[in-house]
Amino acid sequence: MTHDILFILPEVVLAAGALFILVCGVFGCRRWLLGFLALASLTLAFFVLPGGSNTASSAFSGMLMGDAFGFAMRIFFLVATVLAVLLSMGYRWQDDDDAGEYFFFLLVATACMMLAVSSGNLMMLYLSVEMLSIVSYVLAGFLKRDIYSTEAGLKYFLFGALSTGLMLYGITLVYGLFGTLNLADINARLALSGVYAPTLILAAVLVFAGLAFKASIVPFHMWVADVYDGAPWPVAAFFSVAPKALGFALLVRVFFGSSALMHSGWPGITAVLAILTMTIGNLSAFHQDNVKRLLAFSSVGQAGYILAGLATGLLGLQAAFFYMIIYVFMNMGAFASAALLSPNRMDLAAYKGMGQRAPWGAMFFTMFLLSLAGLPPLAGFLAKFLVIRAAVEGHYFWLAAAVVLNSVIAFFYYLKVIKIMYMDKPASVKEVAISRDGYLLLAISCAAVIGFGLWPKPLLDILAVIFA
Amino acid sequence: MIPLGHYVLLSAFLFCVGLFGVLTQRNAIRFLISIEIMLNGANINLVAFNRYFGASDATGQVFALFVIGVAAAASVVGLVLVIAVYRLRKSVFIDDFNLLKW
Repeated sequence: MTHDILFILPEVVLAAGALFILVCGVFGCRRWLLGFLALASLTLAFFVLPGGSNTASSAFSGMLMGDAFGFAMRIFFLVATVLAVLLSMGYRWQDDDDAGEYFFFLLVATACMMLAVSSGNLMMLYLSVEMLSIVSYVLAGFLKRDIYSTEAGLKYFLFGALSTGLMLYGITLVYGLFGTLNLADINARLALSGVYAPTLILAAVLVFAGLAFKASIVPFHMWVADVYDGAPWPVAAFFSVAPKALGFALLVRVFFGSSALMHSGWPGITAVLAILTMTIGNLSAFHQDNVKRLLAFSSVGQAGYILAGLATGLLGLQAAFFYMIIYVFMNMGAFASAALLSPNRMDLAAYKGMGQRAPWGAMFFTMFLLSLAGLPPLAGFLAKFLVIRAAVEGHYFWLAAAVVLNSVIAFFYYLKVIKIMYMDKPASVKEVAISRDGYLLLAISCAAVIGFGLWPKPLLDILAVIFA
Repeated sequence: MIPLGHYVLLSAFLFCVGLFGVLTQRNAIRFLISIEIMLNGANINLVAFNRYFGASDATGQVFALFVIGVAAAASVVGLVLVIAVYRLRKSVFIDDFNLLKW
């Protein structure tokens, strides 16, 4: 019993912190203080994370399980939320009320993601994913007097409810086929019986649809641009990294735990979906004149690169998760710098002449865009290189070629934004002020993007241990 | 005793009815009702499978209870969003939500 409680202590800390922040918000605490409390809860949750040892443990009779992968992903979500909280503190909101509720939902979402990634049972997985979804709908529609934000929230709800409904039906079919919801038991049975029963394939497709929705994999990506476009900037930035990473982590949990699936058609199908995702994402981003939508489609393209890693075996897994860690910093950085430079107007014209109006902000934005494009020596280049290398070594030459081609397409639209910031004359030359928290976030992300680009070895070593 | 196949057929039918509703209905409230029908299909599956596997544990039944609870929470949030949009737009039809391009 004590062991069980210790296992979920980080989530308990986050939930308690969230409730405390909610109460503080009711009593009218300022945004910076609430944000500081959120950062404190996240830090405390990090320090009570149970064991990083490689030995697998389980809690609540197999409902939750701990292994090196789960441990790493829990830290990952804590870091991603720290970045999102910093952006929420530094961003210029239209109105300052409801800050308590905002940080409450952000922390609860983090706790749900940490539970989801540690779940060893499909019931636990469904419950935590659905909980995260409910919180996300509220966050997307958070500006309740804003016509765009509410529309984004409703659209996210309509798509999200459908996808979790599909996933739930898939899970019930799995229950009917195996008589258990425990992932380890299911994989053991699968290894004996193979994966060719039509019902099982239907169930796998339904569960995949639910998770692919979170990871924004084509054809489940239609919501991305609309929801990111309407949601407040910090929420869009959070959605573009954390729930997306959760989608990939759960795909690995559910589909990679099983060697039987790995020997079926899974790698080939994944590779095809990866190519579709990156191509459609990048081509849609190409002609966008709204920076938020451009970044949204760029994040779909990036999801394609990560999925390409998942298709190509163990080396590919390491590459995919290296990519995901780098992606958090560069994508969060790109969303954050775009948000801080122009909080209200999102069209490309608003960014004209940012090179003079906010030299530092524009420089950071350029760095993140170049990293997303994959320019050496930034970390984005190394991440892409690893994915391509894994594809080549797994003899998926067409996949490697698709990644290279897509990087070239993507380069043009990233460059378009940079060109507008530095070459075009601004309508006004008024300086853009960026807050201290904003600069802190940009500096941390930039340091990570440059640091991991130059010294990737420690991170790669850790990933090699996790996916051994 | 009614054989398992009947339950599974019923649940598949409910799921398909719900899915059909989701794909064809343009009214956000009807969309919500269709989702609930899909979830109820899943619930029938869970309870029927649980009974079929014997009463040694109640995993399926407990899961069904959880699903009912979660569905209630989700529809609360969904209705709140519908109301928030309705106050600004005076419409609950999905085709009218076109400020953000689909």
